[in-house]
Amino acid sequence: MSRRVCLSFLLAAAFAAATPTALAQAVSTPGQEVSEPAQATSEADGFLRALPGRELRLPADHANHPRTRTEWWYFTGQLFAEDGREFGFQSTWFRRALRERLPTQAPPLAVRDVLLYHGALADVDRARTQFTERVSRDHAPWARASEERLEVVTLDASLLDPVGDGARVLLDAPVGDARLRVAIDFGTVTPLAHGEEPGLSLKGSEAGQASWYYSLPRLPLSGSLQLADGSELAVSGEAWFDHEFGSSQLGDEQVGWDWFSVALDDGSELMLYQLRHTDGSADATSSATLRRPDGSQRHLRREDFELEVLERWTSPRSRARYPAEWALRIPSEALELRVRPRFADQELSTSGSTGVVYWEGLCEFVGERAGGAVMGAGYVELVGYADSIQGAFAAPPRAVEPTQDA
Amino acid sequence: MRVVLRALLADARGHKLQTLVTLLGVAVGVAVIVAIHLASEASLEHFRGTFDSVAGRATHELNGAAPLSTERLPELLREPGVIAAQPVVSRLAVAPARADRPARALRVLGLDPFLAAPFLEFSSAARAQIGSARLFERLLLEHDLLLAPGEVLADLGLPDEGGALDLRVGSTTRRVRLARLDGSGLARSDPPVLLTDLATAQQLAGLDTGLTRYDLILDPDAPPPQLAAGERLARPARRGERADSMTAAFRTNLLCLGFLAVLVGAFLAFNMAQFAVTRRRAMLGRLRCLGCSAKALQRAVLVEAALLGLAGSVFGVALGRALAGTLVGDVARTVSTLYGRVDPPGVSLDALTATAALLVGVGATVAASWGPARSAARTPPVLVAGGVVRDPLPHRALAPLLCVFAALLLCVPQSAVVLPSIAVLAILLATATAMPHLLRRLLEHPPRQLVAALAAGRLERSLARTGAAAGALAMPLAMTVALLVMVGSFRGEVVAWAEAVLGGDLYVQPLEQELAAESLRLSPALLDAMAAHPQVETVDTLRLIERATDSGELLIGGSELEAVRRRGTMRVLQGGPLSDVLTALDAGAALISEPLAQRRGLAPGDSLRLPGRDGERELTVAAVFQDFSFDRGYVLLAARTHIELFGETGVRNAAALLRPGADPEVVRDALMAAHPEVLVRTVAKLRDDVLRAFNDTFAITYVLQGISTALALVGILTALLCLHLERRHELGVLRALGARTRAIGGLLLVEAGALMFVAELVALPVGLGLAWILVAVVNTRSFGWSFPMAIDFGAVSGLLGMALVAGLLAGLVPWLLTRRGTISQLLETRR
Repeated sequence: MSRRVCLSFLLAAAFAAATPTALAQAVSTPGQEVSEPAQATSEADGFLRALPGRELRLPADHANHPRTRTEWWYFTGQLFAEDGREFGFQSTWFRRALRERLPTQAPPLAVRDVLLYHGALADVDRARTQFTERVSRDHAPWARASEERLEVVTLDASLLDPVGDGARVLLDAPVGDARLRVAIDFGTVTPLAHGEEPGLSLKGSEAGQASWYYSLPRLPLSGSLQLADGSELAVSGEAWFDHEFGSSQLGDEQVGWDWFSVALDDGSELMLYQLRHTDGSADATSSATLRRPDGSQRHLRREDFELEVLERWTSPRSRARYPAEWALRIPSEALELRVRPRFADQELSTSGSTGVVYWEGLCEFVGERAGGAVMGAGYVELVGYADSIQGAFAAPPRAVEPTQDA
Repeated sequence: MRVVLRALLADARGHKLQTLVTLLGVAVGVAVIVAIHLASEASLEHFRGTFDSVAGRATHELNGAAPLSTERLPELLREPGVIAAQPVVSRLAVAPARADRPARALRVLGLDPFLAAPFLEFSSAARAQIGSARLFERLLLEHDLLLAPGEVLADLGLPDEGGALDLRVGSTTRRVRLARLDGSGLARSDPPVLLTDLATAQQLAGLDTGLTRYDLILDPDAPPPQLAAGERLARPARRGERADSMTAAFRTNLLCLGFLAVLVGAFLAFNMAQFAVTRRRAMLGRLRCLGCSAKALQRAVLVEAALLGLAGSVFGVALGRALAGTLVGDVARTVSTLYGRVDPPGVSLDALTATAALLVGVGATVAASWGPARSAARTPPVLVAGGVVRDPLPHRALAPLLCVFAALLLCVPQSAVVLPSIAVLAILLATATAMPHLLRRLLEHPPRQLVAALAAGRLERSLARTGAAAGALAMPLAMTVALLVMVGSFRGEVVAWAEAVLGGDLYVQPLEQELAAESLRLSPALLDAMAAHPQVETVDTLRLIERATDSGELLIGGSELEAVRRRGTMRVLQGGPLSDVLTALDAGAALISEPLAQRRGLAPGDSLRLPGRDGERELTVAAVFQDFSFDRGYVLLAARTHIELFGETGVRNAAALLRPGADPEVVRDALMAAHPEVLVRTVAKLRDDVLRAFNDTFAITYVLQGISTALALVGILTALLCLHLERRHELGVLRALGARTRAIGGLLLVEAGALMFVAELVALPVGLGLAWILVAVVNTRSFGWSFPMAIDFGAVSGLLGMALVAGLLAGLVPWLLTRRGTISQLLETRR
């Protein structure tokens, strides 16, 4: 399941900090964050819960699902510029419903959904990460998410499937100080549906404590990157797309998560996440999805993989201590990978507004599968290690160092 | 050299008290610089912030005649020059009269909480309140909720925590709920602001998805955004302007104080370093006798000075940081009395300030040691060892040269602030360098009275230091006298102007402030109601528009000038008698304000081109009049000419002239009750408001002035203490000869008094001279306002008197420290 349900919730919760105030305090403190959503997922509030028996339908499911409370469209990837420079990027649109429906006679700009956008650019050569974000109400000229097709807009960040057939998507959005304009080829990629029942990612033992979740790995993209100085670079590369929607939340004791995605050069793909408890242990619902080179897919439970932290890095800004190198093992698949960030400082701080601090960075994956060398580029997301830089706007759960990782 | 250095340091350790005082002197000097700089920066930031919470941080507004569309926002955000943009709905609303209170005018301000962050700043208390009561989330979800400060709730007769209220916007009245939010600065707006979500404000205003305006923060270096048809990019309306010109005036004040701080600080450090070297002349001589080369000696002295300077400066930076905290608290208290409660701003020490202060500290110490070290090193060892050498005084020609330099700077035309400020600095420095020579002159004829003669002798023998101490005191005193006189003169003139030109009895202006200047107008119905009131004799109106011309923006007013005609309330500076001026005005000529005349070099008879409705038109300037209300260009035309040129732009302000015997307050209340959308002020209230604005601007200066003077006194104290420590044995001799401790106290008092007296004697004329520069040069050039210098001798003598008392008290401190010592203890201090 879903690391980012939580992230999007944190962001949505903290949106109020983007106001000149600290509404975030009330919504984003761990206690309330959990208690509130508990009601939110109940039948009474009218949001659709993720239950078994729903089949994933593409491209229709690329579009918005307003009956769920939370939804996000998440791109991470690698860009190669014409001049030889290499970048990592993240472009994410989040939707969070404040209420199931608007009251009658609500004013035209009344808010049902809040739409957020996060855009980061990791300049590998300069070892520099830049980040930007947008928050807006769901007023069509400003921000909208279409139910018909993949079309999500948050102010000047837009994601659009112009034909509506799910074959080609245009992304035009700020990433840090730069602006990324690329066409992403969705056409030939087979989706990776997560969870034991493909497409339904469980996150707790109760019915409905789940979300619908699938990924599209190895998406070819090409277009341009306009840098802050106005210069424009032609870029091409590969992206990983995640789409998740649901209405429930993380449990009380969960403080954060480590999430990994990689497309390896032997043709296999792996998505893995580990939810961490306050005491540092991994939650039982942590899981992974592996697609083997032959195209067969396997759902992995917590006990099927091992994650060992080999290095740590302390952020000079937030003082958060993040894992910075891992040994990732899936013994039953004879797969062993070393995961290293391309450079350490890929921490993203939304201290200017929401106050959420997390690490999301381009990593290299190197290792062996059944004696043969494999490698690949992927993304890792680490949430819950940092206290907010602005204490008052504290959004992530309590920062607790995991004492043990595997 | 190392041996020498070691010997010097050993000596410094041996004379702990002396070394400590030297360090303290350097530290106080550096602390003055750091404290005033930090406090200025923090207060300036805060002062601006105080307005920001009302005026917002927008650099520009995007207006249009019709309501603006929300579709512009993404386009604006994609413009490279737009740093931030927020949609705004702003509408005037009225809480209808109830039995317990009259009708109240309010402003409904609708903002988007997601986009407002860069534009608003709330106090920490307000944030906590919003957080705990989930106010912003409620604003998004409850479409009849508005936020108001406690004062406004009380004024509306609502309970503390808020309540329901009928609100009339336009012709519709709706019931809304008010929740309480303090600390947002909104109560200070006039009319008070009710803050709400954009959607709610649109619904109240009946705007559908329309907006009143966009607030923008633009990058000054990037091209301005492209405008659609009918859109207009303006500086935030009037509300920001006053804040701007006030911060400009405030900044000028702080700049002067900053200069002063560096000067006084460097001078104190200088004084102390000199003391450290000269105190050890004999020792240096002995070292020379022992075969130490002059060069090595000089180098060792300078290295030691650098070390002392560094140690003192480090301490000084820390001290300054602490002092700045206190200063800022004082400033916040001043601001609080003027604007309501204000949290003291945070003080932060940046690396640049710290480094600059360290450099000044070390530099001044080394520079100060250089002269004495050189002279001690070069004088034949026997003389030095015998203590025969006198400390070098600053060159006699230095002061006159600095004065000439200052005069030359003042003669450069067209330089607004920088060159005159350097001239001020040069004059202050000249004062300090001339001081020892002046002191010597005065001491050439020692008095006969024993104690006075003794004191004179003691002062004369260490002229380099006594002179420097007097100089260190004279500088801030002179500057304070100058600021006192300048502010006093300015204030006097503004009062006189306000008294003279406010000829009407009641002044009426629209409360709506946030639309473009041109759409601000009084309704014809209101003007009719005013004219029809039985106690109103006649109504004077003002049409006011803003036009960009080749030489900047101009405010162009058009008025019947009834008050001027009937009551002669205009101060014509150039252009002949008022009756002639009015005749020319009626014939289509223009009157211009003094700042405009100053800036554009215009005089009566010249012509002025104005961009009219049907193209440019050339008008003759009939007269220049005095005006303190706008520091930009202001042109006044006859109402008829104004309409001819620009069309009917609507009446912006009006003044009512009442019949003899009428009570202005009664008429005001009647008008306000019928028209809550306007602000009606009596002439007395308006005059008060003018003065309050003036006092607001300069109040903070006084606090900082006081502190800089106090720090200079600390400097004097350390200087006197040095002198005293160096010569304690003399007191021992006096005591041995039979002098009582009280007599010795008298001697020290006479010394301190003499120094203070000389310093003040010099500070007074120099201060008046500096005041003239501020009044006649800086003010005229930077604001375009000229006014005669008026010296408030009471205030000046009060200042000098207080300084004298404080100086005398400082002079007694050394006595208090040593009066318990026995004769032998005192005599032993000679080495």
